Amino acid sequence: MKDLIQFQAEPLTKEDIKEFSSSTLSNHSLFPLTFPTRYRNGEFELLIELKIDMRNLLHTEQEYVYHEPFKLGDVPLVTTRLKEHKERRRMQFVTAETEVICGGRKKITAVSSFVIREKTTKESV
Amino acid sequence: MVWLEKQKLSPVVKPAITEELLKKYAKASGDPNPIHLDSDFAKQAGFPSVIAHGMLSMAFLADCLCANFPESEYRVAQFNTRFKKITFPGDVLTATGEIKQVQSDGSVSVSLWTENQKGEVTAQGEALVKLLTK
Repeated sequence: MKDLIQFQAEPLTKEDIKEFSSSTLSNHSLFPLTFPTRYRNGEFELLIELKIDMRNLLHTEQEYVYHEPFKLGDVPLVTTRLKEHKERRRMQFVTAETEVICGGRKKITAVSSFVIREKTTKESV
Repeated sequence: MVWLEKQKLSPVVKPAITEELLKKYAKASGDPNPIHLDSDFAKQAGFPSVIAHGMLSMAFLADCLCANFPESEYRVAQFNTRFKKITFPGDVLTATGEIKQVQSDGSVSVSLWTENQKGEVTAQGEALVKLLTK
């Protein structure tokens, strides 16, 4: 089973930021602090690998460490690792860590935590 | 601006969450979970309707941070949020917070939370905001 997903995202454009800001009803930030949520594809792939039923999935916590600001034109290399997967009282707990590197420089580290309310597996999500 | 411990941030009140906004956010954020978009799917999950993305609440908290700490003077170094209560279409969220600690270099630790129209805390977080050196 895969526990690491890596992909190269499209270069960062002004339009991406504008679309994201509009969808969060924001007109403040040059680079929205939660914009890196766009780089969570790897997390969803890992959850599919774990055969998690999306109906039972709750995103419980999100953490960002901002190492360096993003710039327009940055081409993010996104690496997501399964940090923890445990089961307790018929619930599963999943934590994934994502690093985004652009041009060899680390931009953010993101940690996402999920609870799967009841242990269920299915063939496809 | 000089911040003091326990000082309240200026709150940011957002318009009511709509299903249309959730669709827009799902597209912009790349979140594929149908629980935010498909009411039948959400009902199968035990909810009365689609539910808002937790990350949308975090984005509202980010907006509150940016409103209180201008990017020309401050840089957010760390930011975390715990999603405590489900938000549904029709809910009105206010993002607010208070200063937790002011450090000697001007950096500020901030407690943040979103409240719905019933005064319930739906998300709670913290941020470390650094004062930019001129």
